[in-house]
Amino acid sequence: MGQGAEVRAEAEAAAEDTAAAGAGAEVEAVAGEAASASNEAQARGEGEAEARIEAAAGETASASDEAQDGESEAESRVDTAAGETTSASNELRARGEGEAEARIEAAAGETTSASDEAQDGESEAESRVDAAAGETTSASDEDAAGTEAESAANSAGEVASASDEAESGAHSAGEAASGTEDASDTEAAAGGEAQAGGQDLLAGADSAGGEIPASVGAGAGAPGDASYGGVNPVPQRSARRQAWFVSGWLASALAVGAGAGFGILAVIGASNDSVIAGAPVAPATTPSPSVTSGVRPDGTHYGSVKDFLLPIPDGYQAGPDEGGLGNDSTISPDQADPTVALLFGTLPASDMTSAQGAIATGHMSDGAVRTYANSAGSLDVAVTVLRLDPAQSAESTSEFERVVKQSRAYRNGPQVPGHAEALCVLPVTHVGDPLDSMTCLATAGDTLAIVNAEGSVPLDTNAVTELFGRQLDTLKGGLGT
Amino acid sequence: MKRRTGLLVTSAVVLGLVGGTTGGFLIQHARSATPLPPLRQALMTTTVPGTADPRDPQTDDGAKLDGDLRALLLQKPAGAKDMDLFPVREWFTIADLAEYYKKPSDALGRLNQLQFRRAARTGWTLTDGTDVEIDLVQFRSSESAASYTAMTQFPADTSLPPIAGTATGAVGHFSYLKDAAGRYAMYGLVRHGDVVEQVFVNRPQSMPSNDEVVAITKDQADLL
Repeated sequence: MGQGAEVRAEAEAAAEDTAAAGAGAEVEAVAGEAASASNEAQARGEGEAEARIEAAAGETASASDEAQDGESEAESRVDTAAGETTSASNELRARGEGEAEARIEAAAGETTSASDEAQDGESEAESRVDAAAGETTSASDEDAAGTEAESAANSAGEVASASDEAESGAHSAGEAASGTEDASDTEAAAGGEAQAGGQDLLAGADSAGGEIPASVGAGAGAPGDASYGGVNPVPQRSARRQAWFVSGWLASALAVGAGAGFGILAVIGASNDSVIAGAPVAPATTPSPSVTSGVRPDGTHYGSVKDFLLPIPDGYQAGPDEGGLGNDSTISPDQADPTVALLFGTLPASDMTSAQGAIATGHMSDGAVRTYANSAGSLDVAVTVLRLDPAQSAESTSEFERVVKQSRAYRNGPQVPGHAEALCVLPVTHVGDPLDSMTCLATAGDTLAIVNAEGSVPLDTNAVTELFGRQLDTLKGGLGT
Repeated sequence: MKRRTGLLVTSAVVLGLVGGTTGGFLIQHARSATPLPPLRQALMTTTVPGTADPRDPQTDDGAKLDGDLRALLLQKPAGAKDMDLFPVREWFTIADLAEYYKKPSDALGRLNQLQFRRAARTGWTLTDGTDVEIDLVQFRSSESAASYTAMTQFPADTSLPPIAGTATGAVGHFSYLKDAAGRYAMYGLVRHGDVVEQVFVNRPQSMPSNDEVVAITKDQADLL
């Protein structure tokens, strides 16, 4: 075998009572720097499956074999001769009946990646990794079925590692690398593991089912294969090889990532189902709609008008009820007339009728009231907002303003800063009284806003107009303004 | 070789992180959102103003007093005419009430401090010229209502008959002389929960009788 060495990984898997299945896979790579092969051999039913990959002149040879299902045998072998890298992953699954063979051969500096799936049952699986003069050889076997698996890795290279979840045997024969033969292969399977020189003796000897592989690796028989045996690895790197390398690298990286991910999931047990199952179960109820209120570009409002009412500012507390309307309440459409009567009780009867008629024109759809009392108790303010039909609101509110403005019950009051359209009036009857009152009103889109204030003389009209201005800002600019 | 192996491992780790993140995101993105489990208990039905109050005002005192106070006001007797000083059987404001007092600003501050809630009033004039006014003044708490009865500073006279059926009802005189308006006046005062009933009876020719004021005060108290 010269400088060649042989690495053999054998995985034998035998499960409980299911149909006996075996798959044999052999992998040979000759003189390739990078040889990646992944074989999946699935055998269902009765039959045999073989996959063979041989790598020669590889620096690294890795083989991972997965054997799933019961009463099966799996052997994996990777032969590497003087190659830089050889990666072979074999998945052997045996189910059912049938036969399958997969064979990959790489020789003379070429990289070959192959994935073969062989399905059949009651078959045998063998895969062998033979490494000759490789720098690194690793063989990892996974036996997912939890059955017996044996692997033997013999490396003549610098590093030999073997990991096997079930059972692994690693045989390192670094000293024997210069030897002619690998003598440490104790886990000989079904014969044929002896290799010398570049001659492939594996042919036809590994299949327990008597199957004879039709062809065996290129080996020394390949013309120009000077590197078989690992003496002179061909350094040439073709684009094709690189492509194979990249694809193999990608596949192995993804496989590792996926394995890690599923491993984490298996450990922490994070399952969507378990979350749902652990959640308290209650009769389904219709979720209360989250009412969002706002102002449309045309100035009309959506949502409850009450949402637009100014929150109680610093220096104020909740005030008295506005008559029977409450101090933090919605106003239903059928309360339109009483609301006008309550807020504009100073109006003479004829004006009151006109004012109520003006609001009726607007077809009030929603309303709200909130009251505020200042901390000193010297000022009580009630803010009322009525929402009208957008089609009628302009006519309705302008008529209402006209009625209030022309009424002899009121005199003109101060301006609302920033809101020139707002109208403030003072009742003439309160002139000279120890307490005074003021009423302001303004239109904001489809809403009519009214503020009623009572307080000690002199009435703090600045506080009232400032509060009303902030209310109008909210009605015009929306919540948060 | 070592450099190459390190590069391989590093790039594999990077690819694994990127690929795993992307893959995980895509998988989660493709999944429909898991709805939150419904609450273990259905939320209590919220009380919406304007909807039916399950409490019966006939039997539930709180429901009665939370309702329309104007409806609880005593009806004027036959032959009497409505008071012309203010709209009868209507709400009146905290400022209106404060102006009943000699120092309205102070009264306003005190009423705000006591958390005055609302008030309704009515009144009538009898054929003999006797004026009767009944106010129902409501606060946010019974304690405030009790404080308000003290705030009135109506002079108590224990020699006068109590109001039957009430714990706090009383009648009294502000003065045995004519007031500034040239009238003899008496009051009745009853607290029922967070509502204070105050009654004013006056006429120009003579002092109202105790029984007369007690009867009106009791009749109104019976409606509360």
